[in-house]
Amino acid sequence: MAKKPDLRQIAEVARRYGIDPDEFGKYVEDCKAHGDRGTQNARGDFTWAELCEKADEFKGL
Amino acid sequence: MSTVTATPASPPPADFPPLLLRFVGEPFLFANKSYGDELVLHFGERRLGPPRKTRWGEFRYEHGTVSLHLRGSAWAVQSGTRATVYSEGLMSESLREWLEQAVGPQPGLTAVVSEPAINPGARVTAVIPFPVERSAVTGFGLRVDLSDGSTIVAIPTPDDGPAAAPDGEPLPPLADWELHTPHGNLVVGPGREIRVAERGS
Repeated sequence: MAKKPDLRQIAEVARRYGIDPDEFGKYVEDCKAHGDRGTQNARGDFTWAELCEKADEFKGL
Repeated sequence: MSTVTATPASPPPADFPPLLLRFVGEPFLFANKSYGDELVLHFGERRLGPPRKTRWGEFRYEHGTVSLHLRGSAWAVQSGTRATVYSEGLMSESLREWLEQAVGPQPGLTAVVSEPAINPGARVTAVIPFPVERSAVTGFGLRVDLSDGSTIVAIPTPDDGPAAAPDGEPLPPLADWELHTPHGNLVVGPGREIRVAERGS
């Protein structure tokens, strides 16, 4: 089942950076699938700071 | 068929916004996994977001004009094309481990997005929200029937309560499920909250 804290964090990061949460959520998932993983846990989830870096990166693409 | 009703009958069905009715008749496109292990089911017409060059290649957000986001709900997808029920969150992790030791891997999120669980083009024939009241959960579940015999069911799970970002600002509550359409986003939960938000908000 979905990991609620991760969903709430990514929604808030998307809101703060003014980006579409659906597109950003898929982008971050695709990053993980391509080996660009976070350090929050062994599954490669992202910390809050890493999600903010991802949002910066996404806005620059 | 354009059923919008609630079951079981008690408590009485909520007055769901008419936006939900517009879901009936939409053709299924595909399912995908979004960050946080969220199942998203896409319907309607296929759209592609702008191309974005990343360090691992091009990224384009592929989506339907209508999408069902199962957010904080446990869910099941009963396939109309194969004898399989895909599910996540309907049993405890320990029970699932026991079951998998006994009979093998149980189809869940990875399988439902990689296998043709629902026939592309199958149309939504019924949309049935229903009240859920059980331990620590009060909210609305959702059943969606499709013309190929598939059924999608979302069942709310306990709200995880207030949480904050590292700077102390509160994190937004997580809906139980959302229906995104060109006419607005239907946001359901947590609890009995039902609202229609501007698309993208």
